[in-house]
Amino acid sequence: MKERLLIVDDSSVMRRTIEKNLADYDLEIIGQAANGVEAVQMVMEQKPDVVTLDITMPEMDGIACLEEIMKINPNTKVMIITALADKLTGLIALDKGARGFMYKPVNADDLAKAFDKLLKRDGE
Amino acid sequence: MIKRLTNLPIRQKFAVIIIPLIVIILAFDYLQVRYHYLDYSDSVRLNKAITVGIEINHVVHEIQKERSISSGFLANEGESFGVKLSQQREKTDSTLQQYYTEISSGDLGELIELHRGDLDELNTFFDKLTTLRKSIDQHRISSEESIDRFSEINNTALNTVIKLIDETRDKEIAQQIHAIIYFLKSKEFASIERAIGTQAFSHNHIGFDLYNRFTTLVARQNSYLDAFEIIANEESTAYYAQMVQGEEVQEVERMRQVVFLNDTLSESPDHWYDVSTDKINRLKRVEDFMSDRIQARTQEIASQSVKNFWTFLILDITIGIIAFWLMTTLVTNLLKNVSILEAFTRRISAGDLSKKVVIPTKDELGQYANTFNKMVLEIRKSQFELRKQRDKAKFLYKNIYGVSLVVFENIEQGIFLLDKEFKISKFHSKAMKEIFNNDRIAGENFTNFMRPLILPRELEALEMFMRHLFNEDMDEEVVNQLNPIDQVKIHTEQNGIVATKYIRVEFTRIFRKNKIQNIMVTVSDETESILLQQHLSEAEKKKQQETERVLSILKIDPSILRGFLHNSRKMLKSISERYEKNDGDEYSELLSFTFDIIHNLKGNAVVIGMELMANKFHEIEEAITALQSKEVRGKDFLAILYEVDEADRMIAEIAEMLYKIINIYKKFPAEGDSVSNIMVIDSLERGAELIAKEEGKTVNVTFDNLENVILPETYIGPFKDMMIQLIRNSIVHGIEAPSVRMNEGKSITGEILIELSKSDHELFIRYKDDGRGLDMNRIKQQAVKKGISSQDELDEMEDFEIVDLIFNEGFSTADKSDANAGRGQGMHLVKSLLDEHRGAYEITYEEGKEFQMIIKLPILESGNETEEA
Repeated sequence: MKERLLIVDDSSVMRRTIEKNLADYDLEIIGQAANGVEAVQMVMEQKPDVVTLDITMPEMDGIACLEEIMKINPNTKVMIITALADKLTGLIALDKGARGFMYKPVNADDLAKAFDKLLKRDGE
Repeated sequence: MIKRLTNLPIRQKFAVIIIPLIVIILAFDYLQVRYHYLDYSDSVRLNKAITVGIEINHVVHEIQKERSISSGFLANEGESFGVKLSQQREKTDSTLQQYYTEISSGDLGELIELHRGDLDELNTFFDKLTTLRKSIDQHRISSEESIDRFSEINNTALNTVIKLIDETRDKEIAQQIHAIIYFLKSKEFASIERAIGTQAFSHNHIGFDLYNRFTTLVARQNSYLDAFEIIANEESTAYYAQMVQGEEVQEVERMRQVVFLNDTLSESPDHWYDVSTDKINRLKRVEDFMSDRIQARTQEIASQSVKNFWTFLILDITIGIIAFWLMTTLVTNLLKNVSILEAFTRRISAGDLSKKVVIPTKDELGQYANTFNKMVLEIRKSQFELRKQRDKAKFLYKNIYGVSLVVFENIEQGIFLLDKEFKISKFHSKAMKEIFNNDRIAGENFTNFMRPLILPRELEALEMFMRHLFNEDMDEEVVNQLNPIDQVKIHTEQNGIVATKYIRVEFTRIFRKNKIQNIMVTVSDETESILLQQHLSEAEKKKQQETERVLSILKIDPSILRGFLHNSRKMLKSISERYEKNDGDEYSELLSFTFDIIHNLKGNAVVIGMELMANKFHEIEEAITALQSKEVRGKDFLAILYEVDEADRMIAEIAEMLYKIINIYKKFPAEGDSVSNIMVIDSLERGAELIAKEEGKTVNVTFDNLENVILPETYIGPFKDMMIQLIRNSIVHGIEAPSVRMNEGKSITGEILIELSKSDHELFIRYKDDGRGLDMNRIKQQAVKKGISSQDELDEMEDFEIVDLIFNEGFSTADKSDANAGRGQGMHLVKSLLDEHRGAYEITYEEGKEFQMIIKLPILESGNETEEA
């Protein structure tokens, strides 16, 4: 069964980039959210298996959003994708339950590798 | 009790088993030997007793005869038997003498002791013979009386014989002894019968009492004979039958019948005496025969017993000795073997496997020994294997350890391991000390170790980071992306000198049995390379600046550039001249003067696309603006002057470069016009890009030149100046921020179109953007605010007139100023240029959608008009 992915990023360009780069990857993208509040709503409704999550977002930032997602379903695999160079925030995200981490900008190869690890696939 | 027995040492266990056995064997042997000894002593004694008995019987036999003779002698009152009697007495005495000789011989000591009483009694009875004989000689006793007296002696003698011989453990002998006793008794009665017969025949008559006595004697005699015949052995009875027969025996029987049947006994007493004596003698021979037989038998038994005694004794001793020898040998051997095994096992348990155990016997212990030896051999084999492995491991360890030490001594990186408590391992590379200028490394907590060296925020991140590194669930690569001290600046102190270092710290998980055991940390001192990098990047920057200068020069039309440079130097020079002239404290005025010049120069620089100078002038502008807010002093102004000088120097450098380039161009002339056109377009695009970047917007400048219009050299400068002002205006004021554009359904990138076309006499420039157009109300407000028009004037104006207001000097709708716009100079410059070249313009707009300006410039016949050069 394909894992179901939710993309969360306040930049539509970034969301499209992630979506485009994952086009060939064996995943079902079930939706996109432009901020934390929207993301929490969608997680609650659609219960995605995987979430890519930006950290700097309006309304509710990535860390708060991650906490909410973990409350809803602690098994959700969250991949942080951020441009933020601050490592402490990244480590806090791992503390809160994120299992993947990537810096922007992203490309298809890096995304595939990171998702292989996150989803424990052997990587084709 | 059983437990106590089972707990005894083997030696004592053997004792418990063997000692009772030996005692039993000894007791049995003793009994055996004793039995045979008793048999022997019994037989010897019996033999002696029989010898004595025979002597006594001889005496008895003679006394019997004497009794009969004495009875006859007394019965006929000494008429007959006188001679016989004295003869008989001699015979009796001689047998008596024999008897005494016999019993006084030392051979019989023990027997005599045993039967002392009996023999003494017998002797007194024998002594009575003398008195008895006296009485007979003097006829003082009757015949009957003498018989009784003799019988008394014989009785005692016989009883003594019985007592002597009736003592044997041999059944058969005992039986024969009883046979002989019965026989002796029968013979005694026969003898008494003879005596009574002799008396009767002497009297020719037998009285009633005597008769009774006679018959009783015969009956008793027969009954004893019967008893004898029952228990005597065949040999004796056969001998008896053979011996006691013939005429005399029958004569005795016949004469008995005479006695039984007749009152008057006419037969001669001598005859009776003779026949009956003959018969008694025969009996005596039977008796002697039997005595001999018994004696022979006892002798046989005695010698057999002696043989048996010795046989058993020797056998017993031999068996005893053999048994004892066997037991002691076996037990000693067993105990010895056990103790050998014991010693061996003790040695093994002490770890000495060098020797074999040797037990020569082939019993279980020998087999145990073999098994032990095999076991020891196996153990030695495995020990050898283990030792080999250990040596190999030791060798490897020593080598690896040695190599590690060498590596740790010499490697330039700091290397150490962290445990789960973030403690630094005991072993770490020597470089650690040099990198951190710190001796206290081993065993320290890495967080504490780093605390004085890095920022608190980094430290917090480091602790969190290490925690995640030790978390098996976390991917190492993912965690390592977040290494907070991947590259970090630290300050170390040595001898009071603080040194800044750039270090790179890398973390690698060390697994053992699929578990994270440690984290290997490598620290590299990258100070030198980072400093080098910084140095390089500075050099690079400088080089880039120079290249930029060259490029900016190349892209700008040389004539325009020359004009710009010339103008700039002149203007800058005017500033220093003005300063030198300034004698008072008129700094604010001087400052304002300087600002105007610099601002103008900045505008020019932007227009011709000379970013380098535009930036420099902007810097000076900012510095002046900063001074304007406070009281200006000479010292402050000097800083500005320094900056101005710097700008001047830069311009001089550019001028020099230009000079060189122009020389190159002179050597290789090109088609000036088209080159200029391309350069202008390029510089406008670059200008637009630069302004948009600073404003946080994106624009796309499109040139349409379908008619391939080539701008005459005269118009290149003004065209470029005008366009750059319009572009700046569009980007700053017209084109909205991307977010705004998105909300309004526009593409994020703003579009600017510059279109060239011409007619016979005129050149058309269409400038268009898709920004928000013109905000009439805002223009009006600004005009009032800047004092360009009054509200009343505005109210009467037409729209195009209001639009024209933007060309006024000092008009700007932006609230802040920067290099691009905001000081109300831009549109004014456009207007001036148009006026200068007799150009015309037309502005149209659609609020929120677009702004358009069409410029018309007359085409001149000849290029007379030239810029100052």
